[in-house]
Amino acid sequence: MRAEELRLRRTIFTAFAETGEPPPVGSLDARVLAELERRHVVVLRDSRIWMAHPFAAHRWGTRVEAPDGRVWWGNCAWDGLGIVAALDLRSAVVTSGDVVVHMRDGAVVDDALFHVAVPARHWWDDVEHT
Amino acid sequence: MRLLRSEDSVEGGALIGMQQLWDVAQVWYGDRLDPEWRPRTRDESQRLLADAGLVGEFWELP
Repeated sequence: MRAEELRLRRTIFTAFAETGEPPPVGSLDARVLAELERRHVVVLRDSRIWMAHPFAAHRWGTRVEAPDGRVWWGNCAWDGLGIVAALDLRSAVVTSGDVVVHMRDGAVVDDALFHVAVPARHWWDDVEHT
Repeated sequence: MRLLRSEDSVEGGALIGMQQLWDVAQVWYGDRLDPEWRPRTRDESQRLLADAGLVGEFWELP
């Protein structure tokens, strides 16, 4: 991955981490952004950054809330827990559909099951639905 | 991929528990905000899945 791609990637991930939102694509280099999409670093939709795993711009996946009220979204619970890990949150509430999982002192408190419907070799066929 | 209550049932695919999901989420995504982050190879990703106990044809990456 080239230096300009790593720089743009970092801009995108920093924005997601700090605000829960991606930066507007109009402010980004379209050519480099297209390369990040080709490399599966980002998913683009409707002229915006839709996902940069574990973060998502859409609001129908998994919600992660920190104790101070900050909120992020991921596409699924795997991504939600990934947000907890990437941000090094010690505690969080992770909500996916009607299932709520609490993280406390760096550990999962609640019991639940995670269903993966699609084999790993096909995850990127439709990465929103796996 | 979706989260279920432990008593829910579902057909097909794979089911993993929360501790295992937390284990794999940490190694899969824990470095995403590191300044020195670099993309993994396919084999490195496969090894992370295996280290979390996710092995077999279902978990074979392309």
